[in-house]
Amino acid sequence: MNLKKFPKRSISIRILKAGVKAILVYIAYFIIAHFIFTLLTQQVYELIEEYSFLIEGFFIAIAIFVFLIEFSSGTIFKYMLEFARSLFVIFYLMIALKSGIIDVNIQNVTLVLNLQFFLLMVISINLIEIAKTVLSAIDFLHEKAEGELQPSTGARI
Amino acid sequence: MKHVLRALRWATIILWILLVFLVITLVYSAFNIGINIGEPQLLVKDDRIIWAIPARINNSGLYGIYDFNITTVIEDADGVILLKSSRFVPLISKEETRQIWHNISTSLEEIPNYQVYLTNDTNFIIKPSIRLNFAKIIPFIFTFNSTIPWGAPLYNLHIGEPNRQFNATHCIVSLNVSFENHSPYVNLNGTLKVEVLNQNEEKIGINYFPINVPPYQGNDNYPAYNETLSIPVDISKLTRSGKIRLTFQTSMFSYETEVPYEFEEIS
Repeated sequence: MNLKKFPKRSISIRILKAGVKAILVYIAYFIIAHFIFTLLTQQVYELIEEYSFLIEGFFIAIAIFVFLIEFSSGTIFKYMLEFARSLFVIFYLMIALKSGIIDVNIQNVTLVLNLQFFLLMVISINLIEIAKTVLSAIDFLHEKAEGELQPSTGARI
Repeated sequence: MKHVLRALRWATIILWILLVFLVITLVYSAFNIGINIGEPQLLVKDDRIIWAIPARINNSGLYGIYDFNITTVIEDADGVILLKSSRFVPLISKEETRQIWHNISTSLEEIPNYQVYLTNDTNFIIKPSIRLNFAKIIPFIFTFNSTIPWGAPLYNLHIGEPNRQFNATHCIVSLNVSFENHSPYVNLNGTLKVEVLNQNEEKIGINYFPINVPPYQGNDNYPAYNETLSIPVDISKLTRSGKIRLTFQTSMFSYETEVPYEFEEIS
């Protein structure tokens, strides 16, 4: 991204807009987490406690992606970052959810939860997102090329 | 191109909405399911020991619970499976409360190497596991283990040194037998058969003795048996050495043990 193309004021507005969006994502995480944790009993909370940093890490990464995507809107980098975000979501969830089989052991209690259906759904949605991003990038480049090829005003054939 | 992009955008929006809706309703439903497993009750009925585990499943959620299965495995301290029992409920519909009894029934003789547990106290490991398929999309397994103490009904079985006494017509072999009943479930009500065998494995004397030792009630003193048993024997076939066979016969089990004897020469 060539920042010299943007006026200084425009960059400030972009940063502000991107920052606000990223903060909103992080606030949404706090609200959702608070809502879920108030529903949990102490025992269930202990069971999922080891996953809490994975959830927080996921939301921090998504907030960073939101900031960068917003900041680079109007450039090809936006599509590259959207592509990267979808790949990140797929691989992060596959690793964090241990391919969909969550196995928790606490003292003499074992809990095995099969979340493969959700993982499959999230992967499917993100694959559609990737397809959409690729097509959007092609469309963006196409429009850009068309814009550059526009005949100048008053030109004669 | 624009139409394709619009279609894809709508597809992702609809799928995200569906996924979020599904997650919210599933989480809400999961928190509205109550599975209460009560204290296991131990009963002795028709000479069988029954562990009856009550479970109450209250499904106040929005989805059904499918393939609900409670399996209980009882293992000894070395991990050898002694008993296994399952209870399967194909469907617990939404807004349904189901009370089920998961029974593990056995007679002592069905337990592998049960004779070891007649004379030795131990701890059994009880491993209940719950499997279910929530809303047909989330299979779930929950297992835990706990121990239950096992009290031996013939704990510290002690058979004293056999003695012989002669009178004018008979020879009487006597021996002391003692044990404690540590079992809270087994009522030792039956007979003790005592056979005296000579060197040639010939039965030279037999006698039956009633035994009645109640189950352990949980106080400091264990119910005990301590008797000196006398068996008249055929003096003509009596040899210096041989063995005495004791058979405990109760409605719940039969247990046999032997002790050798060696008498001094009659001068």
